[in-house]
Amino acid sequence: MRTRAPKTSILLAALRACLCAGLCLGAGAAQAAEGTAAPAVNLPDIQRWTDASGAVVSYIGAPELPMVDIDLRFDAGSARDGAAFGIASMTSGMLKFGADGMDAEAIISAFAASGAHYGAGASSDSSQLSLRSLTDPAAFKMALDTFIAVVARPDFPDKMVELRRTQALSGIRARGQNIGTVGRIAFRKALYGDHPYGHPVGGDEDTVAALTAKDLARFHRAYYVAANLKITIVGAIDRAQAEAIARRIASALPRGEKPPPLPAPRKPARVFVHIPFPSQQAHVFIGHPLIEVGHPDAHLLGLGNRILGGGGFGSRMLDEIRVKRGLAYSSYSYFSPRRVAGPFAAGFQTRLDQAGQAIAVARQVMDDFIAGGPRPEELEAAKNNILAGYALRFAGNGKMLGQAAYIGFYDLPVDHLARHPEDIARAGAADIQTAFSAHVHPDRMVTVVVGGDAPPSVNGETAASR
Amino acid sequence: MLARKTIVVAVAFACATLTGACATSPARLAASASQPAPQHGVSEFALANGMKVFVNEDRRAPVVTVQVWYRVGASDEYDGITGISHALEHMMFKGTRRYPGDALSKTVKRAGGSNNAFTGHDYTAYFATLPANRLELGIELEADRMRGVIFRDEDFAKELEVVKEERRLRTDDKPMSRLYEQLAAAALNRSPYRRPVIGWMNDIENLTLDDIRRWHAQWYAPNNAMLIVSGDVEPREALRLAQKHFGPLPPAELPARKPQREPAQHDAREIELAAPAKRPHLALAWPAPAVGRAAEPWEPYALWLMSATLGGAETSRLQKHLVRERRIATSVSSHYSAYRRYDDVFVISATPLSNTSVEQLEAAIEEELAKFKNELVDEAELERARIQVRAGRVYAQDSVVGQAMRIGRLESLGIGWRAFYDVDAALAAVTPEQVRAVARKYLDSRRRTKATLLPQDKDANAGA
Repeated sequence: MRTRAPKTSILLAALRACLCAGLCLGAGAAQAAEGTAAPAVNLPDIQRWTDASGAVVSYIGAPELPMVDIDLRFDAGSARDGAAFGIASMTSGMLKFGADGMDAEAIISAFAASGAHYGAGASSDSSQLSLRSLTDPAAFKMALDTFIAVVARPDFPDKMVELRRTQALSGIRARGQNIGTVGRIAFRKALYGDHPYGHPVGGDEDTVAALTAKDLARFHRAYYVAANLKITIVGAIDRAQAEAIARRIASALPRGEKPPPLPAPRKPARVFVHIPFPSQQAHVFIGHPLIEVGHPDAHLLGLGNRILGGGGFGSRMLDEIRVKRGLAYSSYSYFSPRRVAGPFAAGFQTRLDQAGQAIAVARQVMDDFIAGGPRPEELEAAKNNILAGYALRFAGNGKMLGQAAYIGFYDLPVDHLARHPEDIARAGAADIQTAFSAHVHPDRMVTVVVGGDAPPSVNGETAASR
Repeated sequence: MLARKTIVVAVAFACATLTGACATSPARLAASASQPAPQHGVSEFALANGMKVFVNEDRRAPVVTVQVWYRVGASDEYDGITGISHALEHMMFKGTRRYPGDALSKTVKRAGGSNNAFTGHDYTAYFATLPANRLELGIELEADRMRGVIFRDEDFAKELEVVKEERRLRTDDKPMSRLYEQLAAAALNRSPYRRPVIGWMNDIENLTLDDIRRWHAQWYAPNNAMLIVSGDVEPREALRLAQKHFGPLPPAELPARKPQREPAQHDAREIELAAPAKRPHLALAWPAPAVGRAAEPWEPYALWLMSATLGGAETSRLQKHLVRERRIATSVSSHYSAYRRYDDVFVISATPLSNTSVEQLEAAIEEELAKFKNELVDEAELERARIQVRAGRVYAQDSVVGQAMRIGRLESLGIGWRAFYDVDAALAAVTPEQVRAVARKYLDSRRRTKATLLPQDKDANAGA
């Protein structure tokens, strides 16, 4: 007899301790003391299994709304482009333009007529397809049949490939008018160089112009295979239905095999470069590659980053650059663990004549944080934010889907979502300071500035012109 | 399966009211005398001071969003102080006596939540998403700052700089944003939607703290605001807390609002923006009335389906013909909203592919419009558009925050939140003849505004 997996209830004695010790700023303490009993957070029950085809499936039953979400992720991101920059992106975008003998109009109409939302795209690590459908049987059948045809049997018709290629080239040209995009592309290149993460996901003009339908079909055959697939299903269907859906999708694909691991990026050289751009603001990006998903220090770096610049108001980057000095509207730090070391970056946008000053402030903020670690009240606040607010991460089918698909794609254990708050509760200021010292090195960072004509100067050093 | 109370949220196909009983209201709550049972999971109340309260029950997760929407925005501004509603929104985060400085945001975060705000033409909204057991905190914080915010010169000086950076980031350094800002100002003479919400730069530079104080005093009153609570919440409890924290705040006499009707357009208008862009862009706009503002009540619903079939979906005529078949546009779409408080426009946006000039693209669009006015759309095309609305309504139930925002928006526009659920009959009644009729009536090139973005060599005169 199949029994439902036990629900994971995180009452968290640690959480209670954090809330009781929490200080409240200002005279509103009396009111804020309400609710110190930690709410029991029932994590969604993620059931995970491996289909006979090799695809790994995660499922969460959510019977309240008559809808279902299906997320497919292949280890087929732009990191797998090889020399054909943009092929992963174009392949994912092409799928709906012809499949199983249906032309683009038929496919688009089928999704529309069933009320379904279809999506496809590529990032550095993955190609992703999504389907959101009503569970009404006729609608769901139409949507799912079309979805399976699109993922498993795309035709890549020459005329449509030509269309997509022309559109992609137009988009690539348009990048040059968006100062933020120009900056991000230059930053990525400076961080990763020739590493598979170093080029734009959408490719470049010369590489995209050379892509043919045969190339796309070859990429699809190689990477859109069951052994390389993570399926996540959330919605008003039961386990048996989820198994059947996953089986249908996975068995429509060849079994295939997983691609080899990606190489670890090399540490970049320290650079300070300026790219001219007709603008009133300078966009600044400062950082270097950091860690991969699953790194033992991930939660410490995450917690620390929340305090440094990832937590909005109250985080140091925003407080020092925006609130105290009025230098920017947006000022942040983030890091994005990937299959191999993903980027860490601090950044902001400011009036051209303020760029040098703002860069100096940002660097000082990072230096101070790495040297001293978080203050006790900062750490308390950040922990409380994560622990007391943990249920917010699972509020709704879409959010549950995102969480389950992420841990599924990166092969994190199902209990990761339960263990994470425990790791957070245990983290100490010294642990965070140690982790930052070990991993974050401002003296080896890349600084890219885009905007205006003249390269900015910081502490006597002028950016090199590009 | 989530081990929570699974009270089924009312959905489009099986419209059941919630099982939550509507208890009689004690006299001292002074809530509105008639309390209808919740419909679609939404309960509606009014406090004695005029503040409306909406509670949307969604028990799927122990989460709640607390939102206060003020009925003030760029539409209420005038020349010389454009951007003031948005600047005031920034200043509302500078603290009160009870929660000084950034204590409000810090308190929300410590409680496990997140918060933010935004300004539009017709509303300024403040929202916090919190664990469900911190409902009172969310309500208390908004009630505290409604009248309790403290304005300081040093905060204002810095925050004005932040607002200028925001304008540079969102508009001044983005050729497309500049184009659409100019389009609004050209297509509309009088309607307040002609004004950018962020304000014109010179107006921003000349805002004073006294301006902000007056604007706040005029508009931030309970009778000009609504509280929206959405999530794992018991409506009577939300009402009790609303009364406790907002009840004591006195109403204010609000300035009279003028209709600000757009005079009928009888002229064709053209603007051309040369800017540092890499590819050209074309936008065409025609005046088009929203619900409650048209000669015939069915016209806005016909315009809704006209937009959907003409350019508003991937299956639409313009996208199919110009993007996929003729291959002269890399993208094209149409935009229309049936729910507006003031007069607005129907817009077609298009980017040519490199083999096509903007003039050629414009000619092709007008060709398509001529065909559209001469033919009838299929009933199947109309039904596809209706299905999008019905399915979208189911999907929209998944977001607690989204549901609250929709209530806030529709109420601020004077349409009423029920429109989201009650629109099916009006859309079902639209005929292909009606769609053709509104296309002929409103898509007249003699009453059209055309805006073109032309890439400018960046080495040429760089005066922005």
